[in-house]
Amino acid sequence: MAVLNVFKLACRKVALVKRIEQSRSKLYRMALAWCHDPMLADDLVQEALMLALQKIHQLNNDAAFNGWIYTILNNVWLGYLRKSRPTEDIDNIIVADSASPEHEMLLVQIDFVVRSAMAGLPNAQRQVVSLVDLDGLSYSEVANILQLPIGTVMSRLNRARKALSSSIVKNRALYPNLSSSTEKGKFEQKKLRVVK
Amino acid sequence: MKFSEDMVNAYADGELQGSEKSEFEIALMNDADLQSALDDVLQLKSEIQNAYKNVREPVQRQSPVTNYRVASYIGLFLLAFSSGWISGDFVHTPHAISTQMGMSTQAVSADSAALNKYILHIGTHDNVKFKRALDEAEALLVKSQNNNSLIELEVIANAGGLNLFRDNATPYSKRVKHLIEAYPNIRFIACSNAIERLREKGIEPNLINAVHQGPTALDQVVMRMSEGWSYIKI
Repeated sequence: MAVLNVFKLACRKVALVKRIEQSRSKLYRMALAWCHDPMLADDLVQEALMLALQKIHQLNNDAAFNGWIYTILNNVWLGYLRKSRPTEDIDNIIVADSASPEHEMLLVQIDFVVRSAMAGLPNAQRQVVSLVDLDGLSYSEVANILQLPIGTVMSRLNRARKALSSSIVKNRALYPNLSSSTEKGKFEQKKLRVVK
Repeated sequence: MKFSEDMVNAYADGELQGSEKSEFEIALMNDADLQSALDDVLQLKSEIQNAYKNVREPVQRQSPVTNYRVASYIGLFLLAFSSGWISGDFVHTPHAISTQMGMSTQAVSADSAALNKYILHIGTHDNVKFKRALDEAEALLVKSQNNNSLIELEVIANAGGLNLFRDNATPYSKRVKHLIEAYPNIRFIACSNAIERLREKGIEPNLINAVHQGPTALDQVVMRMSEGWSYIKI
């Protein structure tokens, strides 16, 4: 029995290491949505994953993995903000999108508009809306990761979405030649409705 | 529209359950404003997902964890266990090695302590930590020599920690060189990302001779942990 337990523990540890490594892409996407700087996002993710590996023995419940790993990323991000912008209120920090419009326009134009709008959100709203919309986390998971009451998550999410909609409409007016994602959006929207 | 914006969001995010969800869906069939509000939220969600869907990390890497390595680790582990090399105490015990070696490191587990393979990681430019990393590396090497036991040891540095291995930035150049010459079973590895970052700033890293340029620190640590090594963050 002891051998079996040892074997199980060994397998679990290897599986967790692999899972941590495999979460790199989704953490990068989230970090980029928070900081809007590709190199910084990469650094944040590296640091978060190293911390996760260091604290691997603290994760007792595999089902809590997502919340655990995002909590680590959030702590790394907040640590960076405290260090780099010590005099500012972290909740209200707005970031600049480091990609140039010219570069982004060559890629997917509407993506640039949406990302610019995200970059213009205060940090507190940007974090909530990205956790909910990029990774589909539940309100309670987001509340746990960010250490907030669910009501605050909901109100920040609502404010974020209103601000994003307004910013996207404004940016579309500024760039009238933008290719529209309306059709694509409607298609995705239909898929979402069907899933529900 | 009798539902609040929060409720519309909650429905779009799959947060409504039971009667709340049913009531919302009944209202949705007859309330054009509610439908429009929901469509706006769903479209925004879709646009946010699309905006980040194709982002890629600056450096594309291959996963260092292969099934072969996982299998070989488990095989090695079982062999070690059955031969009595490893005791039954496999539960993670931070400080297990610290206690044994009189060190102050954390996140050390008893499992791979028995396998005698360690990867030490230094990620900040801090001369006190540099000294501690070298002290701990040397303590492990001396201990294994005294016990006639086999040990493999890697010291990996990234970010500000890379300065430990830079000839013109470290106060410990001689000591690193001495360890490399005195112990064939220690490897010093510099993170490729950290080297690249320096070069992007126009700074040549000038690594101490015999310091290896590895993959990223993360890749190396993941690979070694997958093989059963103990990870020690300094």
